Amino acid sequence: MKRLSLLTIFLILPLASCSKNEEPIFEKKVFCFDTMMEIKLYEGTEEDVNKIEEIFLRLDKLSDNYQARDITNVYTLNQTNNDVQVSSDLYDLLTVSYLASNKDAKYFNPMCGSLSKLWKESLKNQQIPAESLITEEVNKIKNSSILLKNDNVIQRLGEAEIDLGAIAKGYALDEVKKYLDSKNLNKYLINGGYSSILLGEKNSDDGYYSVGIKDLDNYSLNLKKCFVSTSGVSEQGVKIGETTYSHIVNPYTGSAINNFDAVVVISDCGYLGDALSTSLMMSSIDEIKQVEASCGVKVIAIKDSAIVYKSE
Amino acid sequence: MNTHKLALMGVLTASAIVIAILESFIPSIGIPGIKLGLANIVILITLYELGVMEAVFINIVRVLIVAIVRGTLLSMGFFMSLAGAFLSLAIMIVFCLSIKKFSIIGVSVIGAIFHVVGQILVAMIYLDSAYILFYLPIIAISAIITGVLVGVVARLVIRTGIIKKQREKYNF
Amino acid sequence: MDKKTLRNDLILIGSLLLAAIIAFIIILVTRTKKNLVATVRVQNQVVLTIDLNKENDKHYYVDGTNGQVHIHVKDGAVAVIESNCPHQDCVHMGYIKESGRPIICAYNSVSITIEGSSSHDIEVG
Repeated sequence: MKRLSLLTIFLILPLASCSKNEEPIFEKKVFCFDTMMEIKLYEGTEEDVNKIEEIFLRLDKLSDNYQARDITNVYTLNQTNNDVQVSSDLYDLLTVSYLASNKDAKYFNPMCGSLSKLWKESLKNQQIPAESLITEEVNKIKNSSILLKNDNVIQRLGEAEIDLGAIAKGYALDEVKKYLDSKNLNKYLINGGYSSILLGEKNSDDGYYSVGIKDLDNYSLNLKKCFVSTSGVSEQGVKIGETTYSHIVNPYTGSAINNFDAVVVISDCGYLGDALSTSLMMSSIDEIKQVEASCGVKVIAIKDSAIVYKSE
Repeated sequence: MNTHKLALMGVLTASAIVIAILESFIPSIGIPGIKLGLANIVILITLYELGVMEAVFINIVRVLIVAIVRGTLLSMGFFMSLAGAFLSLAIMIVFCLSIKKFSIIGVSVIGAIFHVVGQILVAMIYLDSAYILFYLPIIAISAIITGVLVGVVARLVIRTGIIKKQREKYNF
Repeated sequence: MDKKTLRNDLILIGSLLLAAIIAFIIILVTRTKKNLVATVRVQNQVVLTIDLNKENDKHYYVDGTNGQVHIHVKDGAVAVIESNCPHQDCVHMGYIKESGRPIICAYNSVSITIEGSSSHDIEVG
């Protein structure tokens, strides 16, 4: 009798691990990229969470354009026009930024750093920067470029500053996805400050996450295994008079007025989704359709709390 | 203990566990972790046919094993089940033994009500919110219906006389 | 089961049902606000929880990783009204009163989230 009950307990205990729970088994908040990244793993180990945190912290350091860090980063590159040796991942990040900017994310330019700073400073004081200063910055961008040389050497030409803020999080999520795939982990949700999200599968029967859009109360998307990149005016937009100015600035005209209030891009490539969500804020609807066709992404454009364009 | 009684208790305990596990797959409305209390079918039968101590024993084992299997041991849901199971058993014991005015169905309904009351009290403490009480009326209605169902099933089983025959045959 | 216990049962069930229905109607008519709790975290640790229905016009000072964050609760909403961070994004967010987007002060690793049932797993935009 005793042996039987003991045996039964040993048989039942393993079942204890098979409970379907809605809560993630590992959850961590990482403060970087000037926001909060939330890692939610529904399978895996604590080591996986830590590895993902490492990826975020490293790319945060590399893409930092406000201060020098213990490794050569964007800030360092912006101080010189000489050849600079960088790490292979920073080189890769700059390469894909250049690629995205030249191909499909036309209005995204990795050299918009000083133009963005100009607008940011002015908008802080509820002012629009002087026309001449804007033109100066736009010209700087026209006359600047990034040379990608052999052996991970970068040379910045011209006076415009490199700013990878619009693409760094997406790139980081690409690296995270590569890691999760290598560990055969599929159930996760990695939230990069709500503007860059990596969806794995949900811990439910069909694995789909229900995704809502801010200010669109009755709208819901069912998504899984994709990147969701969102650019929006709402939180960082400044209203002066009748016009709302955002932190997304057209690198060719210098204008901080966007065609939409928000753009959501669903893709299978983090850096591209991020770059596109920024670029498409300044595009026309026709340009959005072209990008959808050439990149195989899905786009939702929002203006005045309503969807003005949707693919599917 | 009489081997035959042991065997019967084993069957009853297992039945209670299986019913409780199946029941735990039904989504809880309103309050997370709230359960209908279908396992009371077995508890009621045990109470009426075997006795108080036996019912208490099966109750404890049921709550523990179900929590282990579902992986919810020591969670809010576990303490809710514990409170609900014991409050309901306590009141059913009182009604079954002393207040002989109600049939097994009535006792079952009272048990069901206290089952949810116990769960709600624990949820209120855990979530530190008195607002949960607002769910009580609607949950009470579902508990009453469940209680009637449970009582009817228990009564049916008792009426078949299976357990009574076992008791008389093997003397327990 | 005899007629007497059956009658008693019916009286019991009937009165319980009636009581529950009446209570339900009363609650439906006099609806109160949902229970909203703001949870303040520094990095991953919960340092403060505020019941937004109970506290009104209260000030809280939370030590983040790089400085202090001044939190204010008013009319069921919470906001960061002062912070030593350079971008002041957290202050610009203003008052939040629903579970949706949290207030984040990245410089101080402080996050304020409102727990509550949201209809979505995540909200973008």
